[in-house]
Amino acid sequence: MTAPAASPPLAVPGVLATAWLVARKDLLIEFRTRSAFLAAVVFALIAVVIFRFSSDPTAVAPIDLAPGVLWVIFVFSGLLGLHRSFGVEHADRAMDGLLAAPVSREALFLGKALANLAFVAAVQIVAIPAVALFYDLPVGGGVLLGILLVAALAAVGLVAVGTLFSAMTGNTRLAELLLPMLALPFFVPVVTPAAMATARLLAGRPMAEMAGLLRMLGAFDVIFVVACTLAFPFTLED
Amino acid sequence: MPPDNGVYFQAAYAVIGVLYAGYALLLMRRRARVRKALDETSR
Amino acid sequence: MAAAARPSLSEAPVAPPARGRDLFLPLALLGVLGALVRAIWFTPVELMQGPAQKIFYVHVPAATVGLYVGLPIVAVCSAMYLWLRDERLDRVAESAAEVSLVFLTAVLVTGPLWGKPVWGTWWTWDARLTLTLFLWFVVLGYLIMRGALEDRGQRARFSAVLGLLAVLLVPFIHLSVNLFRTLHPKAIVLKPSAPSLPPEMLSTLGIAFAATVVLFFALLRARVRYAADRELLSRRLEGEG
Repeated sequence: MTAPAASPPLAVPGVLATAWLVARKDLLIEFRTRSAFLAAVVFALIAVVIFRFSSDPTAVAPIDLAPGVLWVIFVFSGLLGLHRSFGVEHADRAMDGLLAAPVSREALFLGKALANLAFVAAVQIVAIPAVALFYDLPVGGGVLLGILLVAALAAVGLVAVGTLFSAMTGNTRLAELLLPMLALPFFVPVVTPAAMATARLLAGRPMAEMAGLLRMLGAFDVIFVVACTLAFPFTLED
Repeated sequence: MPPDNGVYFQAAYAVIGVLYAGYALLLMRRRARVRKALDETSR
Repeated sequence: MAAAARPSLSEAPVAPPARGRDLFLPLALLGVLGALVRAIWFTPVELMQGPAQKIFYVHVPAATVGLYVGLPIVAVCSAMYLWLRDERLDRVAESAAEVSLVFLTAVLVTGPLWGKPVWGTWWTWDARLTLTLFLWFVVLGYLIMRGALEDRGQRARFSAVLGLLAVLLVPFIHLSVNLFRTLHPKAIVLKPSAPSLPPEMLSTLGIAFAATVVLFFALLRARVRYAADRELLSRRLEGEG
């Protein structure tokens, strides 16, 4: 980071500004290597194709399959990025440096979550058109916009929970297995309404039918962003 | 006449018995093992 | 029990704690056995559902104890651990989670065994079944995470955080599983009107309930004692090494 050398912690920036600095650090690492992003995108594309071959095309219409495929892909490609989030910090004990910096723990968590949100969003921006293309989805009108809204609402909740669990599992022996194991049950209340809303959008149902589902996603976001931000400091102290 | 489905409840009771008694035995054995190790270290 | 002054569990006692035979657990098991004997031979067969209805006497108490006694203990001990930082609370949370897993497993096995003859299907994506299944997954994840963490303090903190987040998760899982239809029988004992079971069945259920609650606490006590001994052992080994 390019913090001026002559600024001791007297001007600690606001929580959000600090969070942005942390996020920028992570995104910079990711942007320079691009390893996780490319892996997640390739994984998403392969999964899109494989899911189509997992069912009889004459028995299951692509439009019935698409919402489930979309959400399974989001969740699993998201987990790929989330796993790295704290994995990179534990690798060379970089975490100690982060903790020694004059950064509040809450800001650190929000920064990590922000970077993960950007990662998930980037994967979704590739995956949604891919699913629309391969599954021949009617994405005209407001449908695509609606799916993006649902995806954005769902991503916030997924990332909040996933970032916290990534911090908790990052330095265990079983990290890559433990993270999905802990996180997936927490993803159920996100994936269920999100997939239902997606299915209704694709079926051209009116927006009013989705209000309850969107409210549920929003409530999950608010509660778990707050809870995970407050819980994060407990996972650090000694 | 009630339906003849006693086999299901026999199976359920057998599972319950094995589960509860098995877990209780497991706990006793685990504790006995730790106790033995404790006795050895205290010497 | 046997020794006059039992040393506190939080500090490492010099001599190992009381060695007397622990009779509570065998007695609790006998109690459950008695309840089963009463249910099998001394309780009338329900006319509509047949003998399979007797699964109810083990299923309902196990579900109630696991979901409404065991898991709340995990949640409360998790919250209190983060507040008081007493390792005994962490051991109780760990023990209650493991014992609850046994009871939830009993629920998930006996449920389908009742569902097949009565509903005609082993499993249905009914709200209560699904909720229990997800809680089972969460508890299993909790215990596996504990096993994967080496550091004592870290394990206790992470577990407590997970235990508390799970409390927030329950209403959301409940909401999402209710998006599907429910066909689970509603509570028939705690209805506001008079209970709708014949008296012999009701007393069998009551006995089964009492026996299951006693078994839960007997298992919990044994598990907490084991955790305390194990802790003592690992401290001693660390002290030597």
